[in-house]
Amino acid sequence: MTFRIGILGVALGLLMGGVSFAAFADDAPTFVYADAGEPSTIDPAKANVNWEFTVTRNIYDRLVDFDLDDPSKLLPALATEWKQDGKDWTFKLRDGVTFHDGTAFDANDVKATLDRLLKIGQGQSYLVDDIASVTVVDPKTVKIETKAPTVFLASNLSRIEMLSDEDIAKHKDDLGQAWFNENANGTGPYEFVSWTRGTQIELKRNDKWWGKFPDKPFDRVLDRFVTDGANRARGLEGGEFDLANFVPLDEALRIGTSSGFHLVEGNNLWAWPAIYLNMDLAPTNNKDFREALVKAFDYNAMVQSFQGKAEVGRGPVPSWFPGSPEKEEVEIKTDLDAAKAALAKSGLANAKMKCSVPAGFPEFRFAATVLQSSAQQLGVTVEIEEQPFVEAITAIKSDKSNCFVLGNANLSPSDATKFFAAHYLKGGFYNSGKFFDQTLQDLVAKLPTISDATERGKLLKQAADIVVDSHYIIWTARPKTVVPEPDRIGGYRIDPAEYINARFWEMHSK
Amino acid sequence: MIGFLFKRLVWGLLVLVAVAVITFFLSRVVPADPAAFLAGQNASEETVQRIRVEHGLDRPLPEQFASYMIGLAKGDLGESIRTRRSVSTDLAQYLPATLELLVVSFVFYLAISFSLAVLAARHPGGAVDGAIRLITMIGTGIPVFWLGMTLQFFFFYKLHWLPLGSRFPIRETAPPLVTGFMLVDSLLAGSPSAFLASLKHLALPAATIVINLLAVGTRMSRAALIQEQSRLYVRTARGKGLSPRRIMFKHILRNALSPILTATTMQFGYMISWVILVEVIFDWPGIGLYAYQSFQVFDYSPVIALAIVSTAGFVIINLVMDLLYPVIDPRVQSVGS
Repeated sequence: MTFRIGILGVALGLLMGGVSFAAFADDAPTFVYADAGEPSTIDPAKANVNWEFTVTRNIYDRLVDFDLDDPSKLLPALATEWKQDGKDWTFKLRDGVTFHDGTAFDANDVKATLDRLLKIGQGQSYLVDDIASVTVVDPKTVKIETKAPTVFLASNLSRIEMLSDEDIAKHKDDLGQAWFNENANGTGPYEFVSWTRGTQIELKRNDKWWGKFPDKPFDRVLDRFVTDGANRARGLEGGEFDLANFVPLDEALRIGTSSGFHLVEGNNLWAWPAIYLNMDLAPTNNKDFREALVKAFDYNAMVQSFQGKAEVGRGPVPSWFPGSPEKEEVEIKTDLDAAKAALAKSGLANAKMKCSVPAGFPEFRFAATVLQSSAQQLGVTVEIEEQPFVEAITAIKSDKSNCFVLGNANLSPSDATKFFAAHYLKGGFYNSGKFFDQTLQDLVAKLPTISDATERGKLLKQAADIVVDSHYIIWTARPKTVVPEPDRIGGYRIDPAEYINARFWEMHSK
Repeated sequence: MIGFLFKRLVWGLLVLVAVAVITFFLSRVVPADPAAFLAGQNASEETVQRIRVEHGLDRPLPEQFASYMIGLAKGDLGESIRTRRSVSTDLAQYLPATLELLVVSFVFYLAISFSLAVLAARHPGGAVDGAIRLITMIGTGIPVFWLGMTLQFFFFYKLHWLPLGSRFPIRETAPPLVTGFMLVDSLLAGSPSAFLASLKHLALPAATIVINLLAVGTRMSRAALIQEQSRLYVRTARGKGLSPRRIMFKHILRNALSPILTATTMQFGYMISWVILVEVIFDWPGIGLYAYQSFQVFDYSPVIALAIVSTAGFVIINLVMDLLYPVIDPRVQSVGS
């Protein structure tokens, strides 16, 4: 019996003892990133969510980059120079750039990439859907003609990854969709190594990259799929991961202020969340009723829920966005008397409404609950239904719900019109409440054609005012993005035009 | 025997068809649009419509159903909209991880529940019996997700003894994939350290499943053993002066195995359903995690395929148990024949 217990003890000792898991993180040249989901595709023409961008942004390069501290300032990347002449843009391409398979990068790659992207019509194609044609002038020069003059083309191209025309030609039957879904060959700082389904994508450093790595870069990157937020937080804290995205705020603040960690803070959210009100369905189709809801909403409760790491927006465009009219806008705050007056004017006392909330976002649920209690003070009943995202947005679009809760961010570093088109113009995917205003449609169409920044600023203010005055949206809060980074790691910066991603090529050990 | 086997196989097949039909229509009742997911959130309505046509989602429901069932008859489980690959390919990749977790959990469950039952049945109503009852009931009473997270908290976060999740240490290279069973592949690669590492990763998810099922298994086995203990043949054995150990393992156990086997079969069914939650908690890349991710985006084909696969697992284990009954207890065979 003693012998058996001894064996059991040795077995348990071997199983549980040995190397502590925290110890692995310190000595390995590998960077482990805990990502909130597994990509559905790694095709840059289709990539649409953060965990897809994690891969595509690091494997591929773009024609231009931008300064994260000043998104209006564009930086050279695969293109070294560019200029606009009316509807024509000319890009001079960088010499000596090669894809990971060794083939040279040239203007044919740019043309093939953009032609393919626009044909597929998914992912980020909406950012450059004003392109009319792409012409190869010579191997190092490409000309892009837009449907109408647009000052934002170069800025939006900072989000479009460049593929190899040879790869596209080799897999032309389905526009390369099957191949690019799970294979990658870019010019970027990291090369695709493998994709273990359900577990991770492995990348290795491209030491022939044209750009500059910091000292002590990571040779190997593992993009781990960790669906549970608590697990991402715990794994980061326990040393199993080097960085994690979408760590719940309370955990992020706790970890980031604990020993061995620091907090990286920045802006990239336009609203988190925004509540969209249905313009077609009673009672939210009444403007005065919507005004009552906007004015009754308890913004302070939302800011407090973000533990002070948030402000209340004055409109759709945040103050840190290039050319934002935010500072000239009127403060939006809770005013119960004004709300009651607006409700009386609407003649909709004791109204009932339904709110669809995408599941999986505690902040969304909380905002809906705040709306519910705020509306209750007016005698308005709000019924909340938490549903999967597609089901929730379908409910409001098909007039089965009065409101929908959504986070707002803009993928373009300096073009607000793409955001307006998606959220406030006719047919926009996120325009779930079916807002329509012809003046706004015209303004958004005109904005990119104005080359004078001051003039553009004025038009953007007019556009923002139209949305604010319609009371279509309740911008509940605009929180800061807070990311806990271990002290042994450096280089993480918040991208103001993306929520949230890691530029692995800037990360390094200390 | 062959007639019995044939009859059970036909019934099993009918159950699978029924599950396929029910899940097909249930999945279509949900007002969701997988094409919109596939197109991405900023795609135009034309793009979404094009994708609907490409995937046959624009066709009338009976037509979609007929097409799916014809494909199914040919072994085609359809295509996953989320992973953009055939469901069969996905299952081949995800299934071994789940099977490994289930097999290990099942073995530990049998060993532990049976050992506890034997201990409890020795002195029914005694202190040991009471303690076992209390501990196993607490284990079963705790919700699976909470139990899993608590185990992670103590064994990973506090003690640093066991990993947070997944199948192999993150920063180390896994053994070459041969069978898909990490334990087996580690041994095939001749790496005891990889075997131990895999075992460490299995420990918490398997413990979560086992602890949660332990009470029912232990109680049912205990009841069967106690019932057998009161039989005359046991008294005779005692009278002949046989040792308690010999009586338990040579006589009582064999006769009590049939009801224990029945209980075990039922528990295996629960095990299959718990595996979804456990795999999500521990980021275990098996069909449970695959199912969870597919449910989230209303990916129809994997959802139906997974219902069929888990039902098939249940049908197979039932069939195996039915075949085992006559081996264990010859009286069952004589009734059957």
